[in-house]
Amino acid sequence: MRKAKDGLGLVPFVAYVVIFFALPAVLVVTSAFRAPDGSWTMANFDIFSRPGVSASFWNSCWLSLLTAAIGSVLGALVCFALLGCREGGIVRRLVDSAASTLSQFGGVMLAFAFITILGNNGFVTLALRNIAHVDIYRNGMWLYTPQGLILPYLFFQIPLMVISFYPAMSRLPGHLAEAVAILGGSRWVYWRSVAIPVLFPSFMGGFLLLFANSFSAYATAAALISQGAQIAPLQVRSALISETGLGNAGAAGALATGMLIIMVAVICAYALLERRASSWLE
Amino acid sequence: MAGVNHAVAAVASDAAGNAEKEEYTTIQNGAWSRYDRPSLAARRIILALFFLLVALPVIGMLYFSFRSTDGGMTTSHWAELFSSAAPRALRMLNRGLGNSLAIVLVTIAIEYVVVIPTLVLLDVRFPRSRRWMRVLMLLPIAIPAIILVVGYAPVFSFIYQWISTSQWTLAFAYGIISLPFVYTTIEADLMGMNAATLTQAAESLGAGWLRTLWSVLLPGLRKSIVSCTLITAAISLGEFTIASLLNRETLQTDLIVISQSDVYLSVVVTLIILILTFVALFLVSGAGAQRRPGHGTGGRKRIPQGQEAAEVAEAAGSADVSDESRHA
Repeated sequence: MRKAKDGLGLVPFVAYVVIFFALPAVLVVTSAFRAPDGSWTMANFDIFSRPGVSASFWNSCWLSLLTAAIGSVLGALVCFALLGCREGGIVRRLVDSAASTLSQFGGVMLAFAFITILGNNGFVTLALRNIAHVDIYRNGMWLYTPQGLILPYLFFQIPLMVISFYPAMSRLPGHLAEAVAILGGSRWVYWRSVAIPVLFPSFMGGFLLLFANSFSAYATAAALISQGAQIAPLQVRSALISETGLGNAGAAGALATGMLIIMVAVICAYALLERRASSWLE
Repeated sequence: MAGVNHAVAAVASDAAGNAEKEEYTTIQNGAWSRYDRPSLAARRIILALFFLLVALPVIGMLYFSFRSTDGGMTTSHWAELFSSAAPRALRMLNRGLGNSLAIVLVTIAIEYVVVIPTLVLLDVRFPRSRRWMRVLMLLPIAIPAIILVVGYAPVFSFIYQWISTSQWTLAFAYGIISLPFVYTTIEADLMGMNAATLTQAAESLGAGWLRTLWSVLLPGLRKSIVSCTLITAAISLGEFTIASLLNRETLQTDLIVISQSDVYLSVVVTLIILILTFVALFLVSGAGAQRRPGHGTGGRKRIPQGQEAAEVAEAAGSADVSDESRHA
């Protein structure tokens, strides 16, 4: 009886999640298999043979791999440095709030910030040009290309790694280091043979989270690249906003389903790694 | 006695606001330097580089906002923001900001009324749900805004047609996007304070569910509710993907439109919002610093804890223990 009453309390939440998450998620996949007349079809997936579409998925993949790799290594280094700072101390609080601001806060603003740093009139560009006489755009403007997205993406990738990896790092039991020392091992032995192997699953989990994060990042790219669609999220944009009618709902669905397959694979791997990681650090 | 002295000295140096002090002393009594802590030099270099990275956008935008179009320096971009003869761009921005604030309020209301009570209920009454909730809450990360927006297009055109044409309905989507962050924050606190046991205690004393929720559980969750609120606000204020692809008008979509005619105004507004967010997050992080999971409702226990710290330090004779409990 009480169970039934408690179950009733879950109804609003379940209804909300079904209408605004499960339903749209199902609609994404079904729209990929719908023809404009409402019948089922595979034709929407022909969009992947269009020039530029496969290339944009490829661009998204290498961009995400690269920024996840750099971001996870640098972010882990920041976590390492944070181990020496007092919990709740001013340094920890500064790093925490800066990291959440940068990682959660809209890519549009980050894009503006980046234009003021490395744009044609950005202060770093100007300083290099006027003081060091180096023109970073001598061979053309690369900030508004996929290569140009690498640096802006690192500005949210590194902070995200700090937030997601630090809890694992701070749970590293102190007695492991003591044990290594008592057995005569050096600092190097401790990190190479104990700490890094123990932390590796969590590190890879962070890496996958970063990959998923940049693979699905839209705002920064949309604000920087107004022409063309060189990465996968921008392909979804052009399929959604082009004005040739209903046929595009199917194309957008097919593109989104393509992204979804990659994202689900990455997040499944992440969930598996997290489970393995937690057994070490309990 | 050594332990007490250490604790007292440490408290004194803390009171002096000496945050840069080496907290985990690497060499104590000339013995062993902890392998699992960074050296002072490594810590300083890495953190300095991190703060440089964070400072770059701020320096860039500050410098940019004082530059005039001919290359000199000017304050006119800031003056424009406060001038009474508001340019058209600014009126548009006000509209977008108004829409965004309405969306933020509704999103927070959704989290308060629908999401947080359910998370508490699940934890207390259905403890077995924890395992699949953990998996379920990964789904919004696996199906991010750029994918979900394709499915939102028909859902929101239905809402637009039959329910409401105003902008705040976007909050339904933003509530979902914030869900994983709200869940991780609340869940960590629920685990820490042992919500199920507290509920049993309250109910054995005759309290009903609403009373338990209101006077036992929610006070314990105060800190995580505040950080949820801030993260939700930051996400809904900064969201661009769904708003832009569904052709809505929010602060972010307006910033993009304005940047095409007056990029300085966009940068000035961005700088203000970014700094406000950072300061808000920083202040909240400080409010919770005195409390640790399992230590009740915080603040009030501060003074006894000083004695407690000294006692624990005495008993264990270890500098690390006094270090830990001092900051509890």
